[in-house]
Amino acid sequence: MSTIADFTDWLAPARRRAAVDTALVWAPLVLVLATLGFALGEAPAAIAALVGGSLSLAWAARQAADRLDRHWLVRRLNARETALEDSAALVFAAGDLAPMERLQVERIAARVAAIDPASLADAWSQRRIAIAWAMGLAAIAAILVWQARADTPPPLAPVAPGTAAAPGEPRLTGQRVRIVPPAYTGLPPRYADSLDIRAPQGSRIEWTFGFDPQPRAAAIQLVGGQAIPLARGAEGWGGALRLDIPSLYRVTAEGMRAQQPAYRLEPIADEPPQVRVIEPASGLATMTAGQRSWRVVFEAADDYAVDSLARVTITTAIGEGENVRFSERSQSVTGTGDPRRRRFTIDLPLAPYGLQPGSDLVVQLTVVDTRSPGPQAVRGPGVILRFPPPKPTEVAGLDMMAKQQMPAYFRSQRQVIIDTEALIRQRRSLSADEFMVRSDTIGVDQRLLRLRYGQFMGMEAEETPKPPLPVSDKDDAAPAEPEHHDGDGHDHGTAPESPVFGSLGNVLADYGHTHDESEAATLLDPDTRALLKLALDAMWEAEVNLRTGKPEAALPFENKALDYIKRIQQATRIYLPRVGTQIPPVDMTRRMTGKREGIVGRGAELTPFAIEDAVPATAWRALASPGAIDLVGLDRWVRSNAARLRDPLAVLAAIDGLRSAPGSRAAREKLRAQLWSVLTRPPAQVRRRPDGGDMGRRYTGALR
Amino acid sequence: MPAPETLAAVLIALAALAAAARWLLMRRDAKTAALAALTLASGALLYLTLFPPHLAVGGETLLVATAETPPGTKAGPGERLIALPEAPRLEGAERVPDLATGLRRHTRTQALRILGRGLTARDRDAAAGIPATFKPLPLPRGLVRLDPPADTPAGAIFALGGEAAGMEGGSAELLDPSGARVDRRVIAGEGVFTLGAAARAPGLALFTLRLRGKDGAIVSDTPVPLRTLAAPEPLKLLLVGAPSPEAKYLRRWAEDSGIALQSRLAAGGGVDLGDAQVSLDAGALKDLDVVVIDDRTLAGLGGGSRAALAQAVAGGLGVVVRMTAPATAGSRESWRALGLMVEGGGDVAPVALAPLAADQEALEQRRGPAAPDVPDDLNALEDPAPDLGRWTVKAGADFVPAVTDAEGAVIAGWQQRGQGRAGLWTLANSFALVLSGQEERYYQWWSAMVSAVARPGREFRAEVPPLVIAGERTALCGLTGSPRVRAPDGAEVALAIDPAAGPRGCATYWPKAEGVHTIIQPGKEGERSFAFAVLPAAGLDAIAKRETAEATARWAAAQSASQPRGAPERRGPAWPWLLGWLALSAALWFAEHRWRVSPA
Repeated sequence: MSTIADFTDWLAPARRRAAVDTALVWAPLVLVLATLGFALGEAPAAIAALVGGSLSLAWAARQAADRLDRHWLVRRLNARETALEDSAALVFAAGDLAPMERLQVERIAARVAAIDPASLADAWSQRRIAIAWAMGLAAIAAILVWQARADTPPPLAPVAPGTAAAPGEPRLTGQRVRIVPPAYTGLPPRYADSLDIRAPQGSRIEWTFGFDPQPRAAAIQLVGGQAIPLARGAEGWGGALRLDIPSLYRVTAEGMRAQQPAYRLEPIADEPPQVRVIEPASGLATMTAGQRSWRVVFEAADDYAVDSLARVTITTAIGEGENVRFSERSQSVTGTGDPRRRRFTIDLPLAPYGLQPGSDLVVQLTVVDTRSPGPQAVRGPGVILRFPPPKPTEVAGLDMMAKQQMPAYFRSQRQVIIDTEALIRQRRSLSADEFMVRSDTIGVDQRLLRLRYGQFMGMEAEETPKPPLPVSDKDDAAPAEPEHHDGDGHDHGTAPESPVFGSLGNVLADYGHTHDESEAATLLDPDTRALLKLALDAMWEAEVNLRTGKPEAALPFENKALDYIKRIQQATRIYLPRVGTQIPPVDMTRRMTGKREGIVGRGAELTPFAIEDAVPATAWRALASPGAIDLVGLDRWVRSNAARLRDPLAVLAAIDGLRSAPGSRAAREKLRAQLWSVLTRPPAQVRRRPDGGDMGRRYTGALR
Repeated sequence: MPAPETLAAVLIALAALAAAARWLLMRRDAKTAALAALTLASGALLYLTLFPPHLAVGGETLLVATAETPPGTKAGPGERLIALPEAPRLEGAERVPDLATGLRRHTRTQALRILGRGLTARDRDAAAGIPATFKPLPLPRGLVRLDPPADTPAGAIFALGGEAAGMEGGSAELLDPSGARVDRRVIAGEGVFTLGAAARAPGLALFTLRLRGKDGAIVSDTPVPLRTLAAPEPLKLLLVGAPSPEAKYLRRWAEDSGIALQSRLAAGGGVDLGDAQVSLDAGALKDLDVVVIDDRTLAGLGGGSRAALAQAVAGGLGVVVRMTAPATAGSRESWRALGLMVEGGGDVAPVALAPLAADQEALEQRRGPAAPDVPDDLNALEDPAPDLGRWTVKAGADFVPAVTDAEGAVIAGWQQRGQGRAGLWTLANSFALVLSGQEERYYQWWSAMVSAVARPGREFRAEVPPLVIAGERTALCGLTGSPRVRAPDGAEVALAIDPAAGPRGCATYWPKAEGVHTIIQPGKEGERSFAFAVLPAAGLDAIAKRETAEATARWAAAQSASQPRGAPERRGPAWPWLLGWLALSAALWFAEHRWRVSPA
């Protein structure tokens, strides 16, 4: 009905103008933010800033446009044109009008139609736009300049003149090394100060070299390894390498005649995280009466970061003596604090575990670091909550003679059992090789444990095949008789209870190994020592089975060993015998018979100390006088023993130095000096005193 | 023939007395008496004219400028300044090539005063014959004394001593040939320190003694040579006793350290767990170098075996008696037969053990690379030390300690008897060291003990001064025949043995360059060599200065002591007496003339 079209047509130009105006004023800010995002982060940050900024800009523009509505239009028209007689509202009224109003509308409508809708819009806010753009552009320029400056690699550093170069021969004139550590370390890229590089393992090393005059080709030659060709770029010759193994390298260029000095490439290995118990203060806590829950706090530290998610393993050993039941459950726990030093707090409700007197609850934490690939998992120390067992009866009058005995490491056998059980459970999911390796690892643990217990027994080497007090029962007189068994018709005589001097030797002979002389074990009383021997035998059997990949067969022996150890622990008082020999019990079947046959004095044989450094020791001696050296063998020996040497690279560098200058006395002396750190220290040897020559002999002879 | 003075005195006295007597015979009055007195006086003056009396004279003092004489030194009255070649430029000093030249040129010198650092060896050889004084300059900062380690058997601990001046609060570090630190000590007020490390493979190695100031800055690096000896032939050791942990670990040590071991371990009932057919008779003992025997077995030996053992000790064998129980009168008696004169031995005292190393790192360095399957935390520095007890024995001055504990108490010692030595080991349970992870200490102790008593060897071992410095004359001793020295560059120099040195067999050598030199000694069994290190003079500057100062002070003291205390004298001039005599004689003549003219 209204002659004027929809009022939105009248608003459209003004709205467009307002939206564009707003967008123009704020656009520089969005651009600045996007540039900043690009400068600080990477492209994704810039895109995110751009998209987010544009969206908010669009929203703001729309808001600005939406503010212009019908009321605004009416107010604007009335204010602009006095000829409308303040009646513009009637023209754009929505509802029905009164007759008088309609008259007025008809009168005004023609005047309104004469007005150009574009003229209603606000003027451009020129000053604001100009200021915003000027500031925005200035800010962008500043960011770009800053970024450009930060991005520019430093100029090539001069190189210390290593070797004299003939004229026309390429010479290394500048160097720059950029080290980009792996992303998971969170370390920023940096420039190295010298060509000797020490950086986290897995870092990317980028070299740039300048030569004068320019060679036709250049390369980085790894000593005893491949060559990395260098590509010519704008600034010089560049090349890159991923740093994984320690090695030496030298920079070579075509046309270089002299041997170049070798530099070190040394990776810093990512250390596995370390777990420490914060609470409770000692590894063994005793449960108090009525305790409902137990709080354990671990702290895990790593050189880069510890994953915030860790697993807690809770093992319970309930029961006593033979009847010990184990159960294990695990749950995950989240750590808090600095990624390098995370704290894991575990509040354990004790009721679900059903602990009885004498039972243990062991909590262990397994943490992983953030290394990629292959995060390193570490199982931390276990803390034990012990439900105190009933007190054993006290022996009166022995307070001064008795000694409380509870070695701290008597619980590791339990760990071996737990590991073995876990391995048996996981058998299906493991490949045969992996299964074998894991079984062998547990076997090594078992061996270490056995060796530590063996120290109590004075045991030295497990491979000694003969018992210490041999009789002629097996080895010496054996071939004469054919094999026969109990019940095969003829008399064997009664089997003596102790055919040897004491039954222990017989046990040892049966098992085919010995613990050497028992006199060394002066710390334990005879009963405990007997138990300990049984435990050691069981451990040995378990070890044999584990190392041959039969954990199922090993498990009974492990449990037996644990049981023996439990009994040793319960023998809380240990009486120290006097220093001296302990005579084995008298063999009653031989006593007073006067027979001595069968007793053989066999020379106790000793395995000599095998020095493992024959190769470097030979080289050390050979280097003292002029002559050829087996550098290849020495190089191979150092590489294969690198793990246990302190600084293998220094030795390799010295070997390389001698190889490149075989006649140099300085290089020989340097290699000899480096070999000192590699040599094994032998047991202290004996030095003969001089006899003073003829004079000295005559003098001492005349002293009498 | 009497002396001229006496003859002249008698003649003059006779003449004067005769003249005076003639006067008095002629007339007796006051005038005549005066004339007679004048005659006597004239005679006396004549004697004095002929033999003027001695006068004490003050001769000149010679100022001798040596190295680092302060500039601006001037000769005072009665002094004369000479400058030796090493002295700096001095105003008014006379340059002389050596001190003897200076003394020859200045014969009237009555005393010497030495300035600067002191006289070099060139000038100290001869006595000057006149008193000398020397006031040393303060020592320069740095290492002023270095006692390098003695020759060390492989695997044993060695020690070196030193003294640093002006380094209080700094530290002394010992670096092994590869540059790793093996020991460190903080330098206290007196500046004396001791460092130690372990020797590894036989040969000559150069360690470095590094001094650091209070701020950690390196003050000096001094090379320290270490000679590790290789045993030319294995020592033959016989272990006698009952089977015991001590025997077990002794056998382990002997086997591992390259000793040719025999053992006789009686287990009772005629069972011997050792090597078969080892007997203690004179023939078998002659081949052995050391016998280690426990006290009970020694006490239980038959008379023949005991006599053979005692005889063998006198012939050079070493015996170590291992105590397993408190000493009794009987056991002491059996020791006495071997030459061990000790008393007591009934009481047990605890043994104080020093820590194995300064810190864990130094301990690891000292041990060297470990076997691959040994856990890192095995036998750490913090592991508890075992409680050891020793029997306290009292012995005379002839008993020499071989092993002492951290407080200096004797754990083991020996006594000479004839060519051989008998030792006593007073620890019953030293094997506890091995069980506590201190096997290095156990091996070290037994090595020291067995080295001390073992039968002496005859291998070639030259005597070389502890520090041989390039460019300085050195004396090499213990040589015979026609030895020669090979320098690091391969050049060989024949040595001329000084006949004046006698049986010591010394020759002078003047090393030109630093480095390892080798003495080659041809002998009946082929050539034998002995290496020694020649050190650069630069690092040992302060040590040389201290040694020069000390030697000069000794030399000066010797010069002053050998001279009589009295001041030198000389006859005075004769002319005053002649004038007096002339005047008196003239007066006498005149008076006599008057006397004759005038009537009485």
